[in-house]
Amino acid sequence: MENQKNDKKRFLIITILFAFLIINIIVWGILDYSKNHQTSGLGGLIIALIIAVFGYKLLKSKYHSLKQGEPLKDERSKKIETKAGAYTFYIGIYWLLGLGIAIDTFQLNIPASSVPGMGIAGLAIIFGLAYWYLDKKGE
Amino acid sequence: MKNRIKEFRAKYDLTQDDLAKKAGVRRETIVFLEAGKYNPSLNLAHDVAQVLKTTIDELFIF
Repeated sequence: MENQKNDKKRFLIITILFAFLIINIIVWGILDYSKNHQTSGLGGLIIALIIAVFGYKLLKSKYHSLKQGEPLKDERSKKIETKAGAYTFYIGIYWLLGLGIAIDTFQLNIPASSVPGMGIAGLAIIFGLAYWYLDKKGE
Repeated sequence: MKNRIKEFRAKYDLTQDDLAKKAGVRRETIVFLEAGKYNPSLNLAHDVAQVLKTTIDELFIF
């Protein structure tokens, strides 16, 4: 019963944070595009869309679990999270390295202030993909 | 790891949902466990074996 209450609270917090994240990225994308007419803003909107689709699916399955009285997290989902985190770390190193090299080599016109955001968004996408892959695979 | 969860589940007329609730895990965990795609911890193996009124040795084929 106590676990169920905690799970409901956790679900509510995740939903609010998710909504904030999406609104934030969309506002940032629109402002950036309207100010600079640069593609980095559009990129942000595309990333927001990808996160929104992944997040919606995740929240839907969590909501379904809550209604069924299942725990939000269990042994397997915790293992998957840990593994996805490890994958993100390994792949993320190459992503950040590749991003740096690509900006230098191709002289990409990306404002320096957007680079950390792109790096973090990339890591979030890698984590999402790793989680999805491990979840489908079994562990 | 191969196991006899499905067989024991049928014996006690339990659905995957029932077993998941009794073992305190998500239904997907039972699905993957039954399919042999997930190796449980000793704790989970013990909990599932208890719900199915058997032992770990009987339930899992090593």
